[in-house]
Amino acid sequence: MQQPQAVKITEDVQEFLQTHSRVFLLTLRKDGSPTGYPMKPSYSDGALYFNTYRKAAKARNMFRDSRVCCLVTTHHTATDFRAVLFRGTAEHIDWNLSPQGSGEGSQARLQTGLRIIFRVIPDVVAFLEKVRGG
Amino acid sequence: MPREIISMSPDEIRAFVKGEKRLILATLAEDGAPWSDAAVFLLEGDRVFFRIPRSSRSYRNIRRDNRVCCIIERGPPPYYEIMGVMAHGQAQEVRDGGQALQIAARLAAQRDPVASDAGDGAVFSIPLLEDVVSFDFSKIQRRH
Repeated sequence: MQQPQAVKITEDVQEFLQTHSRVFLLTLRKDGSPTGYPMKPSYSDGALYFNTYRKAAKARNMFRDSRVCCLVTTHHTATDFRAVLFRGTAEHIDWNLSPQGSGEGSQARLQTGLRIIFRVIPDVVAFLEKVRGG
Repeated sequence: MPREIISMSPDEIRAFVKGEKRLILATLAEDGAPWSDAAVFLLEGDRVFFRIPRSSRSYRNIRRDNRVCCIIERGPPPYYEIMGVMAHGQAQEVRDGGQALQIAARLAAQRDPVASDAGDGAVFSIPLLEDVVSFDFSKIQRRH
């Protein structure tokens, strides 16, 4: 299994990721077109952890094509919008390998396999303004 | 929870989207992987118009493959007030036409969410309701 921290994440980006949990998870549909989902994952050790139903469309999308792009943003009401782009690969991991908090309120459903955990290992992590033209 | 229970009607979608100003844009990178950006937008005649800089990767992505998803979301918290719309479609660039150019001018007057000096912008539109997913958590009946 691939280990987190595949890319260097600067201190200011780390701080943003640790203090913001509003995330848009972008995946690919069956026809290859993009789609997205607002989510509230956990960030730990250079990776994002998503807790979702196994049968959810987003889970099916990631099982079919693991390439994802996440946008971690300030709160909806924030006057000054800021975002970190977190692009990488999603992998299904055993629920007990996820950081504390990922399974909050749904531990039983994780144990039965109804809900599952995806970990996203990034290959690009940067403030959006820095990679927008890249 | 079945999606149809918390989805919005076309009128509810229009009302929600009209109250928002910023969207998250999903495009396809050169290798076909998803790529993300943020943009100002407005709704006019059941089409979502959004503006992105011509210097951006998103602009180049759309010119190569115009399949996009526009995500407009409010929340959280509180959890039971979360609302969102994901509109999918093929983005068409606004190039001419009186009304379309007026819309482009209105968008140009708004500050880009990502960069204060975003430079020359292009305006694209997609249909709001043709391929849309929506959710309104206030419709959830069984609350924990």
